[in-house]
Amino acid sequence: MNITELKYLAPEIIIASGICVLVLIKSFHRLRSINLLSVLIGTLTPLIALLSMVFIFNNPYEIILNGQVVIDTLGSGLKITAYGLCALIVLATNINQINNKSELILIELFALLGISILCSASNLLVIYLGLETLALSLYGLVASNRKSVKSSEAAMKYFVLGSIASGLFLYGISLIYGLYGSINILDFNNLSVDTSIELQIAIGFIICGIVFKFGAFPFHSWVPDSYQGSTNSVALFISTVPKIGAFALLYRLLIDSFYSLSSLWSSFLLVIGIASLIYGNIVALSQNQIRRLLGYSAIGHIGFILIAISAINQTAIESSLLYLLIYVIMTLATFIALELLSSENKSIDTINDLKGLNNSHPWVALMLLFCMFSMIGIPPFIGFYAKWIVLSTLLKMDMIYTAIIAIIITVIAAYYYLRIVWYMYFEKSDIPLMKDTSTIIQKSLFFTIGSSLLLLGLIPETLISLIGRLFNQIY
Amino acid sequence: MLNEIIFYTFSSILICAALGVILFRNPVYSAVSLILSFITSAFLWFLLESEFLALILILVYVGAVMVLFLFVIMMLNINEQKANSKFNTIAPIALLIGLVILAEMITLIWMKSTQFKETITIIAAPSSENNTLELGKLLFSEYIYPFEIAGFILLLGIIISISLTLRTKKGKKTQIISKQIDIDPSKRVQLVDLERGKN
Repeated sequence: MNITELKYLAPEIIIASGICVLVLIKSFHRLRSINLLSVLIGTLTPLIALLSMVFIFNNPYEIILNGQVVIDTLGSGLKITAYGLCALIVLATNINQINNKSELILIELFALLGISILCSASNLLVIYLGLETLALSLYGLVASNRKSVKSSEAAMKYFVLGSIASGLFLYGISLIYGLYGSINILDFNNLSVDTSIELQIAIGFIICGIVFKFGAFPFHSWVPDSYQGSTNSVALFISTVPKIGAFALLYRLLIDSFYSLSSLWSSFLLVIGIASLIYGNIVALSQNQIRRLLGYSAIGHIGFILIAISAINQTAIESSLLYLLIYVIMTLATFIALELLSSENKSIDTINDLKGLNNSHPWVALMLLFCMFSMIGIPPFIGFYAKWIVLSTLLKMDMIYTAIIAIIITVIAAYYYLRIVWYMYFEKSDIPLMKDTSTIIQKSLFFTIGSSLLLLGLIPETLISLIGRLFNQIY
Repeated sequence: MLNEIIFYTFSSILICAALGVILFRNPVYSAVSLILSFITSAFLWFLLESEFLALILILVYVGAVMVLFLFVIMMLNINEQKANSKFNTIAPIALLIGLVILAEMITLIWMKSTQFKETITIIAAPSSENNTLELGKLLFSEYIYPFEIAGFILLLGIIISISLTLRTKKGKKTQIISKQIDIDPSKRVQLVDLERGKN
């Protein structure tokens, strides 16, 4: 190991030291300003890490630490997104008794560390360790609402299923090590198309691990439960940032290493994508609990992303990343709205709680309307471009039937998004909403993100060209 | 020759202990025979001259994991009869799964062994080399990055488990350490001269 290589690990080191500082500060639990201080560190740590990326970003491609870490533009781009998101989420989270006690911000920083390890890992061992860091902190986050039985149940389910998925993933890794005697993923670049049964099983197991992290169809059951069981503050985090980690995992394992075997895994992804698209959106139709509904809708959106990847070429991967980013922005705005409206005593749980929102909070209702329209994919909003780009890629690749299924399901899905809009605008509320206790920072953040759904929709070229630049240096 | 004798002795003890784990009726006996099987497999590691792995196996599994197991068995007070009645219903399924795994192993190792690209033979390290030292050198040089990540995972585990289980009651009375340390001994103990006979 060369000491100069450490500069490429600067963001990870910064996050790790931020965690250590926060742990030390938390020990002074009698300090009056501890809440404010932990929010400050939780925001500053990702921001400083983001700033440190500026020095790394210009290096196109670098392999360091004996091939355990690879620095490329896509990984750096994903890291920058994750850091920015994490800082936003920490700022937007309500600071109250529950959130302070449960060391939420600290565990969120750990999850960020795991994602950032995943984004630049090029060794199966490092990938697994990053995955475990992320998974463990997510179990902790889901369980953090100790008073609720639902939360403990969701955390228990998530933990058991997650352990099984990690086990499957490790089994896949061990089979690959047995076959090739290497855990460095750059060694698998030039594999000839080998259809031995062992390799197929190994790749199948690895896909199981990836699909679980995404929360797509056969391994989806933790998603709605953990969204419902956790508080809005936790759901805000687990619905957005880990998805970026999952994309990094998929990219590193399937596209970076087993690209030559793409004929093997693309059909897996296509089937999983279509299944989760149909399942998520159909089941979401009958949901009343709003976080559970958003959980099922997340499964549907993940289906879109996986379908896009399964049409393997550069534009397909670009469009899937674009869809992921737009999905993350939309979900972020929706969950911040729920977080804004809920106070320590009253949290927004069912759709009924949103009744008559237009009368009490007209601006929040308008922004939620933007989110819902964007998730449906109505033209001036950015969500439309996400769907349009994925569908046009599918048509270019002659996957017409897949595109037709996706369009039909999108139309069906419009029902449950519009139902939320109906409740907000056309239903009278029985109980007036409580006066919210949100801060001015939360409000301004929410309105910036919400209006960006419309603004980005008017000028979608910026986002598209930004993503194109990430991939330009790779291919 | 001596190696073979030791190997077959310990591996037969290992198999007997493993059978004991599932066949004993008393769960405490099962746990103890699991400990025996861990220790005998540690001896097999010793035979491969990887003393670090052997000692770690004994320390972690026997010292920590199995003690936890025994605690759980004692605390739950598992009923013997219940454990017996379940065994008979599960046995055919377990037998089936066991046979499938056996068949898989036979096909992989025996029939398909020629298909593996490279066969890696385990070479015993020269006896002069210190196994633990070499592992330590590797961990702190080549694998420093995964090693540090593993450290952070452990820290995360500690933090999560404490934050999930720590319950502080409202109005709980505790010492304020700083005040305790700051105390002036001359104020604490008052020396009073007493005259004899008075008071």
